Amino acid sequence: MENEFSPEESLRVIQSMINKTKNNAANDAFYFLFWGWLTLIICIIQYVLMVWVKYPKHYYAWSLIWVGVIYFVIHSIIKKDKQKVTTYMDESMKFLWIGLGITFLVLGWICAFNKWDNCFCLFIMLYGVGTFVSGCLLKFKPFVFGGIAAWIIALIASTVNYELQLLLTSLALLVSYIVPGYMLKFRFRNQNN
Amino acid sequence: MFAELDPILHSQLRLAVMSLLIGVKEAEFIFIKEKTNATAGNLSVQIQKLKEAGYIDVVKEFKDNYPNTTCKITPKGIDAFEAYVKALQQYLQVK
Repeated sequence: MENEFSPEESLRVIQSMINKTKNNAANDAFYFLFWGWLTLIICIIQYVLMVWVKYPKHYYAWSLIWVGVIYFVIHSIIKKDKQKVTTYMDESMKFLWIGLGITFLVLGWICAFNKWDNCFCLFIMLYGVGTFVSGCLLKFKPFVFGGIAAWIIALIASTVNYELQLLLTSLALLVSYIVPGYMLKFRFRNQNN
Repeated sequence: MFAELDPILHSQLRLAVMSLLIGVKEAEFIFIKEKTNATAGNLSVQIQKLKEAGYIDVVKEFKDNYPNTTCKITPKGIDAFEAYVKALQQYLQVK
């Protein structure tokens, strides 16, 4: 059989195998939806505590982020055990989001001990960086446009007060994480049906 | 004058393994078996040949108390794969 293996067949084997290692977008969609929904819910809780309940320590809402971090670490460890293949895309996405995750925590820490005036603008800009780069890596335009939209929202947020910045952060999460996240999830589901 | 096709790579299953590994950082034996639809025995033999040629690294370890084999393409394997693809292009251009 090996002797009759033609160059055309070789090419077909190479193409078919390379197609089989394309990235599993379902995992990426999960991460965007998880962090998008968690952060959006925290923003809304803080807004409600601040504007409607008038609770002075409204920023306590952000403690919930640690619940997300713990769940996420456990989920990642379990997923790594089940993972049968590691693509270069997985590695690029992993290091991009580890870097951004650390930046979010450091920025949150810096803002907690300084003025919060424009911190949300910086967070929104970083959401933009993450989704824009992810969109380019995954060749998925809704994330690219979501990233650009986040940068525009960051600009608008710099001109409004803190309460409105919270709502604009929620909007940025919706357009850059949640909506493209669902689009990616459904695209992957359709590809597999 | 055509460059000769590398006999190590010019085999359906070995080429399939190399084509899978060229696009990923590393892959487990079970993943390669699923994607190539090969039998475990045949795949083991072909992976051993690729390893002996220095085209792939094979790491055997235990994962959840079960033996687990992970394969990764080497720089020599990447060079060989690229040379094979170039030779293949020469053949296909003439036709």
